[in-house]
Amino acid sequence: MIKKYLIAVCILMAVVFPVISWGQSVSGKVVDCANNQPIQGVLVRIIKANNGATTDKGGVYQIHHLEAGSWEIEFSCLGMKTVTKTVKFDRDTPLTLHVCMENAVTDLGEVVVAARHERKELKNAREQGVPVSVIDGKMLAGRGTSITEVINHQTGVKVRRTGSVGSDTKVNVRGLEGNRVQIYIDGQALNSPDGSFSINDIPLQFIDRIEIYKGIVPPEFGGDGLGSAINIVTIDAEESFYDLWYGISSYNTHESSITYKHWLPKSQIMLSAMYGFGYAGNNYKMQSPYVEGLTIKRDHDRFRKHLGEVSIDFRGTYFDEFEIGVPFYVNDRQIQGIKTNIQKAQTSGWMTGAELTLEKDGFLTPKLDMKFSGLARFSGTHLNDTSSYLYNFDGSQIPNTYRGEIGSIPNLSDDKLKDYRYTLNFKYNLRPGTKLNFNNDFRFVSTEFNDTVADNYRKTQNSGLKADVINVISSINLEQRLWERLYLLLTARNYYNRVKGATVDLTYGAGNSEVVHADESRLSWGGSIAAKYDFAQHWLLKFAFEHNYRLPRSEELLGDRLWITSNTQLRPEQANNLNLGVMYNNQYNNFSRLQFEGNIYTMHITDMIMMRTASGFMANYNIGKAHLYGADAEVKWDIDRNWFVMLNATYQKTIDKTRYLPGTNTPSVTYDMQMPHIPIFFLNWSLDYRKDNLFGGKGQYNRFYYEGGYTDKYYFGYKLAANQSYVIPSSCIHTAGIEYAMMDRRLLFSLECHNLFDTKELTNLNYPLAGRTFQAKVRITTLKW
Amino acid sequence: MKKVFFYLPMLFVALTFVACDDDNPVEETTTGKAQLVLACDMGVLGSDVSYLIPVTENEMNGATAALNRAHEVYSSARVAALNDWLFSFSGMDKAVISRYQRQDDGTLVKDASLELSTHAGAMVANVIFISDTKAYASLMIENKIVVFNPTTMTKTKEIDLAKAELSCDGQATPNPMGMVLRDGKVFVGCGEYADMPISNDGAHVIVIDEATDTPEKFISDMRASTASFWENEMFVDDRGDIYINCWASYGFVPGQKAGFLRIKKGETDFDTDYFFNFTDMTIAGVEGGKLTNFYSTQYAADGIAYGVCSCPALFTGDFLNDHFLYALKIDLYNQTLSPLSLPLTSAYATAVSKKGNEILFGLSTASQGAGVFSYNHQTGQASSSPIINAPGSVMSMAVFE
Repeated sequence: MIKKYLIAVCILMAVVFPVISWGQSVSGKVVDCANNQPIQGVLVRIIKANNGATTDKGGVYQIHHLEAGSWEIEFSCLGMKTVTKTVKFDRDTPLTLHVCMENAVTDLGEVVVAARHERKELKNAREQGVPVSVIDGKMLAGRGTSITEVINHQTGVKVRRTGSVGSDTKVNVRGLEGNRVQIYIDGQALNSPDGSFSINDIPLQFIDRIEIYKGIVPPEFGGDGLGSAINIVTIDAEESFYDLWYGISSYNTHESSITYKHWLPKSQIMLSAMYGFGYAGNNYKMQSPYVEGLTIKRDHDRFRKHLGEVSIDFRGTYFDEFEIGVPFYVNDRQIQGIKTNIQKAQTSGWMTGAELTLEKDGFLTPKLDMKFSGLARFSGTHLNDTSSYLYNFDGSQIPNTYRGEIGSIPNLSDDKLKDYRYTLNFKYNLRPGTKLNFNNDFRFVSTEFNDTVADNYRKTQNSGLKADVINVISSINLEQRLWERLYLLLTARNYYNRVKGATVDLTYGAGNSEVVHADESRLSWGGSIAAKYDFAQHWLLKFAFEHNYRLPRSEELLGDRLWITSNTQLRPEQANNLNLGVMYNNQYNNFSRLQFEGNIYTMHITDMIMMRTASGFMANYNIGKAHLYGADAEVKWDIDRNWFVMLNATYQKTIDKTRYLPGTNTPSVTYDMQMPHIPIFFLNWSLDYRKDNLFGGKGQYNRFYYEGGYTDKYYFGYKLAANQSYVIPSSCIHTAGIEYAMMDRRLLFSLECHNLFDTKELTNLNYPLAGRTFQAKVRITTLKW
Repeated sequence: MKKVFFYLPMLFVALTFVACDDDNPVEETTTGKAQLVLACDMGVLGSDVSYLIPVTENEMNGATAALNRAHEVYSSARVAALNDWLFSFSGMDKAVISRYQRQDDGTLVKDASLELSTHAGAMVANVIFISDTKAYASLMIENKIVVFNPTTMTKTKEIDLAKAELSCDGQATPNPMGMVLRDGKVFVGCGEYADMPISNDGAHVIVIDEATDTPEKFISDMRASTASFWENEMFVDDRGDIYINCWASYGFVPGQKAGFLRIKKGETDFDTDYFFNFTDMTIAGVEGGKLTNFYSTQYAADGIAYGVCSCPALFTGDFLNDHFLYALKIDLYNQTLSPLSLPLTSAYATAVSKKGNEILFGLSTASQGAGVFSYNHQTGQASSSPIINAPGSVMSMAVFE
C-alpha cells in the first residue's frame, strides 16, 4: 500500500511539475570545511519564504520557485555551525551557491531544528562498512522502560530474561549470547561479574545512541566479542544542566536519579555529579512450570541498587577532553526460586574505582588524533546461602541436606575483583581519504576468592586464593576512501591472553581439591576487511569479513572454586564472519525519510567454550562448532513531521557442526541441526506519532507510540523426537505509551504499558515473566533533548 | 519421444523407491512391543533433556535407537518397568512419575502421571514395585518415601524419613536412594550426604516394614561408605542375601572404602563376616591395579553381578574425554573382580541392566561407538560394538522380560 502511494506520488510529480513549474531556482553543494566531504541532511531554508530543501548524500540541494529579489538563505545542521548567506535572484538566471560548514563546538541550541533529519553521529555509525543497527537515544529520553527492552526490538537481537528487574539477562545477537556478545559503554568493555553494574542501570535519558554490531566488531573498540557487540554511547553534554527523574512500575518498582552538571567558566571545568537508586519488589504471580496448578507469588525477588558518579572535565587544557570520574555502585538481590521455594539466599555486590578519559585531535602533530580511556575498578560480590532448611511453597519446611538453598554447601562468600584496563587509539590522517589507526586494548583482572564458611564446611583452605587474567588486543587498520564512492577498512589484530595464579581443581571432589598454580598464555592473530560502496543515489552496499577470537573470561578459566572447576587450558573461541548488506536512505523532503537496510550473513565458529557436568561439578571445555547464517531487514519511514513507522524481520539459524558425540567416535545425531534454546524467527514493528503543541499553546511535546514484537516458537532441546515436550511458545507482545512534555521539554510525563494483552511471555524455559506491566515516569531537566 | 515414455515410468518407479527409502532401516522392520527402553541423556551435547527411546527386539542388531519414537523428558531421567508399563522419573527436575504404555507398534504412549511432591527439587532417586498396586519412590532431598499405586497412579501415603534417629549425624537428612524388597522388608540405602557427592562416613540403611510402611530400624556399617545410588545397586541373590554396592563418595574422601556389604537372608543387620573391600585390593587386568567405585551394578545369577567401575590410573581430570571406567564381572562369593572384554567408557554413560542371559551395558567409548553393548552371562561373549547405537549418554535402562 505504501509502495503504491509512493509510486503514485512520483508519477504525479514527474507529470505535473514540468507543467506548473515556475520561478527561479538555487542549487549547490554543502561540504565540511575540515575535509571537503559532502554533508547530507543539511537544512537549506529560504528565510521568510517558507521554502527550503535538505542536502542529499552528495551534499547537493536544490530549491525552486523563487521569486526574483534578495533573500537570506540559512544552512543548518546538527553538529555544524549555521551559515547564512544573502543572495540576489534575477528572473532569468538560476543561482548556484556552494557552502562549507564548520563543526559546532558549543551550544547546539543555536541550531534551529526545523526539519527532522538524521544526526551526523547516527548517520556515521550506520554507514560504517560493518553491519550495525543504531538506535537514536533521543527517542528513548521520555520512556520509562529499560535498555534491554529497547534493544529487544532490533534486527538480530533477542533479550532473554529469567525474571524481572535485576534478574539474569542475556542479550542474544544473531544466535550468540552471554560472553560472546561484548557490551561496551562509551567504547569501554563492561565487565559484569555477578552483582555488578549492568546496562539497565543507565537511565535512558542519558543515552545518545545505542550501536548494535552484528558480525564484525569495529577495531576501535579493541575488545573481543566473537563478532557481536553492543555499544551504549552516553550523552556528552557540552553545557550545564540538571536532571531529576522518578519512575514507578508494576510490582513495586521505583527508580530515580538526580544529575547535576555545572560549568565553571573561569577555571574551564565541568563538574558532574549523579546519584540514583532503584528498588524492585518483582512480586508478580506466575504459574509453576514444575507443579501442576501451583501459582507462585514471587516473594523473595527484591532488588535494590544505589549508584552514582562524580566527575571533573577539564577543558581549556591541551586535551580536547580530559575527564576524571569516580563511580560507585551497590546492589543486593534476593534469589527467587521457581523449582524450589528459596527464602533466604541472596547476593550483593559493590563497585567503585576511577576513570580517566583523554582525547586530542592533533596530538603531537596536526594529523594525529588520540583517544585514551582507562579505568581502575574494584568490586566485590557476596553470596549468602546458609539456610538449614528447605522451604516448600505450601509454607512447610524440611531439613536441608545441603545447608544452602541453591548449592550443595553453605556459602558466605566475599569475592573481590580488581580490574585495570585501558583503551588507547591513535588515528593518523595520512592524506584526505586515508587514515591509519592503531588501537590497543588492555585488561588485567585479578580475582580473590573468599568463603570461610564453605571452606569450613568442606575442610578446605581456598579462601585468599588469587589469580590474574590478562587480555591484550592490539589492532592496526587502514581506512581508505577510493573514487569517492568506495570506503575500505582493513584491520589486522593480535590477541594475547594470559592466566596466572592459584585456582582450585575440583576434579577429585571438593575435599580433595587441589590448589593449582597456573601460568598459561596464548597468542592469536585475526583480521577483517569491511567495505561500503555508494553505488547509486541513496543506496549503499556493505561488505564485511572478519576472522576473530573471543578470549576466555576469568570465570571460565578459573572456575568459581565451588562447583565449577578450573580449566586453564581453554583456548579462545574463533570465528569467521561474513556479512553483506544494502542500505537505502532517502530524505525526500524536509520531514520525510525512507530507510531500508537488509543483511545476509554467515559465520563459522570453532572451539566454542561450553560447560558440561562432571561428576557433581561443572567444567568448561572447548567442544563446540557451529555454523550461523541468516538474514535481517528493516524499513523505517518518517512519513512526515509527525508520523513514523518501522518494521523489521530476522531469520537466523544456529546449526550444530560438532560432528561427533564428545569423547567418542560416534557421529552426533545433532550434527547439522538447529541448536537448542535459540530464537529463529522474529518480527518487530512500531508506530509513532509526535507532535509539538498538540493541544495548543507552545513549548509542548506529545508522543504516542505503539510497538509490537512477534517471536516464533523454538525448542528447548534439539528437535529430535516425535514427542517433543519442551517448547518456548511463540509470542506476540504489544507495548504502547504516551509522552507529554512541557516548558520546552523541561518537564516530562510518560506512561507506558508493556504487554498490553498480558500474553504469556517466556524467553527461557521454565522462567515465567511478569506479563502486563505499567511504567510511569516524571522528569525535570534542563538537558536539551 | 518413445524413449521418453519408456524411461519416464522407470524414473517414476525409481523415484518412488528412493522417496520411500528410509535412512533408518529400523523403520521398515520394526515389529512388536518395545523390549527395552533407554533413558538417553543429551547433556553432553549441550541440551538439558533426555529421551525415552523404545527399542524392539529386532532393533538390537546394531541399529540406531529410533528417536522418531522417543519421548522428550527432562535431563537425567531414569526408568523402571512393570508389566506393560514404563515409568519415568527425572532425577533432577520435577518430582513427577510419568507412565507410558507399550504399544504393539513399538511405540510408547503416555497414559498417566503422578506428582509425588510439590517440592520440585525433591529428586526422585529410585522406584521399586512391591506389587501391581503398591510401589515405593524415594525422594532424596525431601527425605521421604512416597507410597503409590502404579496401576491407578495415585498416591497412597508418605513415609517421613526426616528424623534424627534415621540419620547418621542426627541431622535428619538420611537422603534415601536405592531400595530393595525382601521378605516383606524394604531396605533403603541412604546417601547421608555432607556435600553431594561427598557422603558422611559409613554405609547406612533404613529398614521399613512394607506391610505397615513403617521404618523399623536404622543400621550402619562403618567398614564401607555410601550405600547404593540408583536402581539395582541393592539386590537379592539366589540365596536370598542382600548385597549393597557402597561407592564411597566416588573415591573422593580418603579413608572411605568402596565395596559390597551383605545382609543375610532373614537378617536385618549387616553381615559382619562379609565385606568385599576392593578399595584395598589389587585387581588384575585393570590399569594400575586399582579401582575406586562402581557407578552402577546389576545382579545376574550364582553370586555373579556386573557393573561399571572407575579406574583412577586412567583418569586425567578430563571428564569429557577420559574413558576411565571398566565393565567388570563381580564374583560376590569369591570376592573377585574381572574386567570384561568391553571397551572403556566415560562417566557419562554407565548404565547396566539384564535381559535374559545378556547383560546390557550403556557405554560411551572412545573408538567403538556409544550405545548399548552386551555380554552373555553364560558364554562370556561380548559385543565388540553397540547392539543399539544411542544418540546420547545411556543413563538408565528398563527391560521388559
